[in-house]
Amino acid sequence: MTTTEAISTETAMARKIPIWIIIYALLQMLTSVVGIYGGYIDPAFFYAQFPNADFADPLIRHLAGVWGSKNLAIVLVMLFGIIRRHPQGLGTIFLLKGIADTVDILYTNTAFMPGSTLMMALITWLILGLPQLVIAYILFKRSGAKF
Amino acid sequence: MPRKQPIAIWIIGYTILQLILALLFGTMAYLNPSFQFPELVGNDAAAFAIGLFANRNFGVAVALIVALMLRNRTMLFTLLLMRFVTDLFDFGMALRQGADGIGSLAAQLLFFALILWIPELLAMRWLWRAETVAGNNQATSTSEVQQ
Repeated sequence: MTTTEAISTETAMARKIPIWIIIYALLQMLTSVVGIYGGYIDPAFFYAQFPNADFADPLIRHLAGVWGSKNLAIVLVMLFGIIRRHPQGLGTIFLLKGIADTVDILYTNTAFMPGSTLMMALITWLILGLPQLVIAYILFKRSGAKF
Repeated sequence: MPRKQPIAIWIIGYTILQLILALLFGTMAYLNPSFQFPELVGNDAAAFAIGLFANRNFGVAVALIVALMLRNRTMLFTLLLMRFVTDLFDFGMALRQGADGIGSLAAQLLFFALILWIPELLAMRWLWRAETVAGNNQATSTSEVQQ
């Protein structure tokens, strides 16, 4: 392989996002769309484990809205990363979401959800949290970032 | 790709400010939620949502630390874009909830515009241009190798 071919191959590799990561990103975006629905449209959905919550309370509605904003930003930036072929951009969102979801799953949800156990939280994290951190690492490595 | 990319000092300073804000709001949401949400008294649903709000800030903080340590322009751009979209819609939520009078609305608008939106947009513009120039330089050197 000549130097030119090597550079071209390296550049193409750096900008390529594996198809399975795109599919996983689309699935994560779907979960964020559900978050937007719960945050902006139907707070009762967001506060499902609190049936007695007062949805007319401005604080309750505001906090649900803030959750909706976060999810909306995630969807838009993930779309940007996929469309513009930015592995590092997509990896950054997976890193951010992976950290936030890890604490959400292992602490916040467990603390507030009745009947929730650490084992359930751990399994949920293995399905939803861990893959995001692994994908972030893969995307950074493929794009040539050094740690 | 170089290990560390040159980034304007004011962008690094502004990123550190964003990092401090994320850590401060995240930590205060856990330790003393009534500091940010005075109406919160014995409200489990709100406490749950505040936990998620805090985790979001921790996720942003960790990602900002990684981006700063790597001096990675794409990471910083993505995080600022994410912050910009979130801040924009958070302000929309604050408007929907209704501010306490024109003075409060003006103060919120000033805070969002001067501390968040404008610096974020300026920093994103700088990072985008720096990335475009770097991309063009790389394309030029590749074509020189080909010749």
